[in-house]
Amino acid sequence: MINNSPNKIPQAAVLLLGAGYGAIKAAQDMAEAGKPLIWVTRAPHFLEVPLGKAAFTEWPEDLNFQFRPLYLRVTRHPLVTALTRTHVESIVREGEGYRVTLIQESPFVDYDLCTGCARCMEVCPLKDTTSPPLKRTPPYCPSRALDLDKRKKAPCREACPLGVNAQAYIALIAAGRFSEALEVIRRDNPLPGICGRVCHHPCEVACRRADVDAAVAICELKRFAADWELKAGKRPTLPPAGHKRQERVAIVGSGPAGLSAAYFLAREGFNVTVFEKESQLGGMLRIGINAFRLPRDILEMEIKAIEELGVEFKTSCPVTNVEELFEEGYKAVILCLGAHRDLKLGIPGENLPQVMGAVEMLKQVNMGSLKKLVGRVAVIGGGNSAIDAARAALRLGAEEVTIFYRREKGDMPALAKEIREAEEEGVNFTFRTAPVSIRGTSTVEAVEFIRMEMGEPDESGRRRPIPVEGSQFLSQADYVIVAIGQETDWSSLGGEFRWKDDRGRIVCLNGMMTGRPGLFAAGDVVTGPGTVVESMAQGRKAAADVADYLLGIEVRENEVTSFPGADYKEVPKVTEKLERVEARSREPHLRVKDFSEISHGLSEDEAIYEAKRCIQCAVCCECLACEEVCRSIGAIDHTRLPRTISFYAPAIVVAREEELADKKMLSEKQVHYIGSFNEATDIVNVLMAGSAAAGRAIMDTPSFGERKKGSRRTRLFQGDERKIGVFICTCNGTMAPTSVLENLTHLASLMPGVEKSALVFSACHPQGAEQIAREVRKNKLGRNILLSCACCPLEFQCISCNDQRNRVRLHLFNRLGLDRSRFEMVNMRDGLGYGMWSDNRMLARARDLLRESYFRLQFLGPLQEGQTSLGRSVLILGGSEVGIICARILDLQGFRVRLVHRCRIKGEELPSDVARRSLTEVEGQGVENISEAIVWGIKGHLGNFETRLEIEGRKRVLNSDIVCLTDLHLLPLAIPEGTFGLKKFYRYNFAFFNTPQIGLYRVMPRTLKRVSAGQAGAALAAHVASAAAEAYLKDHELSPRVDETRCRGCGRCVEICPFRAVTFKANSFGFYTAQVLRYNCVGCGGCVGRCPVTAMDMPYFSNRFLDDIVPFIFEGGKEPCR
Amino acid sequence: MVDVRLDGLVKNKGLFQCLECGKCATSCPRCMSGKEYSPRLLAHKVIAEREDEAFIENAVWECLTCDLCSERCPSGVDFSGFVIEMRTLLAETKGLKGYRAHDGAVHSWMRMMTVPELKQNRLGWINEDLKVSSTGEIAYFVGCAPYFDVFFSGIEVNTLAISRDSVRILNFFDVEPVVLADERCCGHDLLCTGDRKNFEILCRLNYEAFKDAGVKEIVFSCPECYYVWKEFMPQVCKGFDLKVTLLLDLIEREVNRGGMTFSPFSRRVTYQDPCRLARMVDKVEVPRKLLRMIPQLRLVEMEHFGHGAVCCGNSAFINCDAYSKFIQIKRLKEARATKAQMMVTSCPKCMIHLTCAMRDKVRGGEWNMELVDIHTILAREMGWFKG
Repeated sequence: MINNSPNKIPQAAVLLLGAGYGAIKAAQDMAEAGKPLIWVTRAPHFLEVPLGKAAFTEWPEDLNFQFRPLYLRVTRHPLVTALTRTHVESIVREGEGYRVTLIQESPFVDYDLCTGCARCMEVCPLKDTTSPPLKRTPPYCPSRALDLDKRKKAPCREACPLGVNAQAYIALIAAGRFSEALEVIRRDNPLPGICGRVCHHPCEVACRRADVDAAVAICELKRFAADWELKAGKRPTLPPAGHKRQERVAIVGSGPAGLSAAYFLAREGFNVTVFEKESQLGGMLRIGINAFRLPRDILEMEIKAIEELGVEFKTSCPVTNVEELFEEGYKAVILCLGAHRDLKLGIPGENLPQVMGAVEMLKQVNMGSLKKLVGRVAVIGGGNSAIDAARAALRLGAEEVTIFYRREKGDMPALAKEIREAEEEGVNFTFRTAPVSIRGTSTVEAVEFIRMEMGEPDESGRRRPIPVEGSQFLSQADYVIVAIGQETDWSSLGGEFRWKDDRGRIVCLNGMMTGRPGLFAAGDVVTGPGTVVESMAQGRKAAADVADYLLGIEVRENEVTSFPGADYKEVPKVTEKLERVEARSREPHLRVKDFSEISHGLSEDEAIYEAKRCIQCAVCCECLACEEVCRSIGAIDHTRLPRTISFYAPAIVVAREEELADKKMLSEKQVHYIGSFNEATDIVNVLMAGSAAAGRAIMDTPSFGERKKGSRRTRLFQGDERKIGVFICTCNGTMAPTSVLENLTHLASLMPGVEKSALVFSACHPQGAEQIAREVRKNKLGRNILLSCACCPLEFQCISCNDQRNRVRLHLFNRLGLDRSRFEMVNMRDGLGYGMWSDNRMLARARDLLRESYFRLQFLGPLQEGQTSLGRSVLILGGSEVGIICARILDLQGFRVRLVHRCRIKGEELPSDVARRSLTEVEGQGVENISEAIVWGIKGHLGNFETRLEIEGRKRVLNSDIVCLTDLHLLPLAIPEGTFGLKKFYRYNFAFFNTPQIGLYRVMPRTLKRVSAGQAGAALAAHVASAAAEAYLKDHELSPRVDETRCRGCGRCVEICPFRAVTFKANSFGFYTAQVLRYNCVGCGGCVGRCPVTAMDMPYFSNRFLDDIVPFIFEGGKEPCR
Repeated sequence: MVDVRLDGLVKNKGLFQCLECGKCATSCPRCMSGKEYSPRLLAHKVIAEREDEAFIENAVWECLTCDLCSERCPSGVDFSGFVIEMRTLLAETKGLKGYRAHDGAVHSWMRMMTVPELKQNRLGWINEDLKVSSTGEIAYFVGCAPYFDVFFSGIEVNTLAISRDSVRILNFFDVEPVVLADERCCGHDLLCTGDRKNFEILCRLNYEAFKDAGVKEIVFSCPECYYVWKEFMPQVCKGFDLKVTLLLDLIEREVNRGGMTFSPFSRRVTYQDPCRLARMVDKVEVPRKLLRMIPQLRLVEMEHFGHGAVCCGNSAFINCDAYSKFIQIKRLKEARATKAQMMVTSCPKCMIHLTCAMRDKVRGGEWNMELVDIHTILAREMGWFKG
């Protein structure tokens, strides 16, 4: 983020592979030693042990919390590019190092942007389920960013030809959010009311709930959503086009394909005209589907919704010549003619007037020209048209309706529900019969059938019917309806059309485009008779192709909306069986009397019950509700693609061998393995090993990386101290209700001196911080209040810190160059109790916080950063293996190293093992070897040590920036272990070489018990390198000052300081005064609180301030704001 | 108004008698430790340059009220009394000032005790071998020791040992003293930091509580408590009729009756006079007499002793700073110079302050010395003569 935005991945960096505590320590050492680092793990964050290993589970949880500050410091270090959910694709030799290729999985949540506001979690329809897709990262992971669990596309969604996101709308219905469910449907399907009634729902076939009990009634749920809107008194509306385009597109035919094409083109902003040869719109939806299945008002309303998008419909307007349309100025034409001409049986007697095609018959019924049908009706065929025709005939008054089908019942292409309903209504079925001839002279009298028997399966998987010789029989009939299929009626287009095949279907050559550029086709005219949703899918595809054609897009990038890797959620095994809800319908004997709709649809309770049966296979349902609430933050994007990163790595540090594809690499010279640990390993071993690996990697890369030269002090923006700015973070609307915060902003603007008071959508967001910086610079604000969740402006992370708080400060003070000493930061989030308190109470509390911070503001003042210069000379006392290795590594790093091989403390004997030690001169440009010396004493501090030595009988004083004690018998030279101030070492620094004197390092016997001397030497070198990484030690500007007349030298401050930032210096009274080493200090103020005589004081959070504010709060001071 | 009262103070405390001889300044431990503060200059400013308010207001808070200046003053100026009253006056008009050690925590708990409904549990220190009662004629005033031992646990002082040993001594004389569970602070530190209002509330609450318990005589081991009850209670509480006795006086009285003996204690000791005891109530000889009664105990005096003893460096928990430490170290060095093996005092505050100074992390060893309260020694060595 702040430094490692996607575009800023370094060309060359050390690769650190794997999460865990050793990796954190290695990252810290390398980064602080100035080595750019790319840190990679498959895990979602670096604290988690990856690949399901639970090696460190017995470690106390609070250890994780102790690592939080370190984790924050390291992962947001300027030289560290931390990539989670990333794996190594390849590592190949290149020059002296490696070329590393990484693949980062789709980062659906951008951790550099996520503010952790959790709005997404709130709006997620699946938040209350057993596996919510959005979860916070675990508490010990300080980013607390959101983690999105996304699997491959749900099977229902994959099965839908239109790709309607069934999982999402089911999830939303289950959550009672019906209008949003409808919105989700309409993204892909403009006709939910129609499809909810007549769709053949392949989604339900694919549904994995069937493995438990029965498929979810997805289709009914869709219908429910559409009906709910009507019941709520709203009319169907579709999302309008974003922008208008000039191009005109003609669509011939207003059936499902045409309507769908019209909708998707209109949504793209094209001017669409639909030509319909009939007097009413809808094509087969109107002609071929009975009103009792699809009420006409639904049909009309949904078409009307498309019309309202600006689509022009022309009825009774047959197109006779396609070329004329192009001449009229249409840039593209889509032919959606459908398949309206009934196929013929081709048997004698078919020309009798009482013999009708099913579509022809239904068209007459639905257009109102056929109102009555008396007598016996024989329907031939087994598809939906046959059923529709048969049921229509019943309602027209037929006494007896029989469907004759040549195969078995189970082979019927009609929907099972349709067949069942027809049976209920009294339609007779005769299977395994095929017509031979129709008898009658002027009218139909009977039909001659032949029995069939079932033979071998044919290419459709069904068994082939074979006529049984001599089984002919006659069946009395007054009407015969032939429903054996349809083909396109080419009569209106003049019969002669170039782009069709011999079956009368249009041949598409390029997507949905015919051989004529600009002429497209979709629906039954391309595929032969299909279902509504298939035709709509064709229409949508054609629309997309038309858009590409008109906009000149050659290849459209694959839209990835699904995470390809992870598999579906498992079908729950123990789920209790829940019965599938079927919609209630009118009684059969009543419903056959009219054409009113027979199904009542689902009630609200039934719909929610049914929707809750859904397994939510893909976990995240991609309803995109989260994306909507995250719009201003931009952290969530369901369409982010995996990315590939390639860089040069001079060395590789491996924390987890599992993450390395080729384990043989571990033996290579530039690959450093932190080590494998078992459950007996303790944390110190792991950290030591991390440090040692970092040391070896630093040795591999002597000339790599940079050491900051000279002053890093930048010019910070100062502003006019009289001008005050107040910035209030809304945390993407989760801080408090908007009215409260607006009120607060107004109150702030009334306070004396306030030049600018503004709401910031998220202070930790790059743009939020930029907004603050812009206002500060524009209005020259010299003192500022920021009410957000960040508690302090310090350059420091404590145990309370998290990624967002850290980011606020990194953005404002490091990236945008504001002065941290001019900011008063208040943690308003913890104080407001959003969700528990009334608005008034929240406002009162926020007002108090504002008043207090305004009060504190008067104590803000500019502070200067000081610095102490630091060279790179190191004195190593003790020529053991530890010392020699450390000296070598440091020499390669460009340090000026002096190594005293045999060394004893004045007045003590040289131990015999050291005395016998053979003196190997350490070679190197910079290493000055001193074979023997007696140490008289060490004085000074980091950057300025004076070591008094006696060399060959002559006294010498050696100056160095750092001193290392590598022989055990020299340990007394370090300040002893029991010295105050030492006890909290491990808690905060996880460093094993430290002494109470920063810059003076030692190797303890217990360290050598854990690791080899070589490892210890490397780790010590890493430690030294990181301590001397910068050319100067930056003083902490907010560190306490000591009033020397008050300080009693009691040492409580020295004792409490975990950072060794307080020491003693002699005073004129003959005892000692505390002294703050400002380059060690972090400004936490622990010493100030501990001082019994208030001799310590902070620059602006001062004792005087506290003295003033306490009465102010308790006794009611002068109000700074009205 | 302020001027009128100030005039009254100057007159009552004898400031007009000041000869500007400067003995006060050269005896003032604070002045002699290098602090820019002089009693003489303050007196001069109050008399002649009262318009220099800033100076006066600052200087008034610097004094230790150790009374050494009054001791040395040839004209009998009651300088400590003047400073205490000045602080009250300034606190009333300008608000409480002066910087308080421990961020004023000690004063805060004293002020908390002014709440009449406050329930305390301060009897936890009474061991099984101690006999106390809740009603009776003679009471023992414990003081702040139960609080001190908690608050100053960091420097490991044991001021409750004084209380235990005092009760032990009383038991020895067959007295089962009344010890109140809701005894309040005597208010000395509030008085000396100018908070007269709360001081008086404490006085009245204490008086009522002891009257309710049927007490007629109260015995004190702490010099400050004794000083306050003796000097201020009759001023504050109308009709004050309790007998106020210093425990050391009581022991002396009993010893004089005869029949008592002390077991030998072979030590060379020196005695630190608490300023309240030595100068304010003039009890210099009693402790020395009692110590000398112990066989084999050799009492050696420091360079400054008796009425001229140097303060332990602090009073009333204000102005603790590097100068205080300097005074304390000077005092400890004096004690070391006597080659005594042990330093005896009779005030818990001397004990706290000098112990704190000895706990120096760097050079503590150079000044370290065993520091024991006189009551502890007496309780341990006292016995009946067995003829």
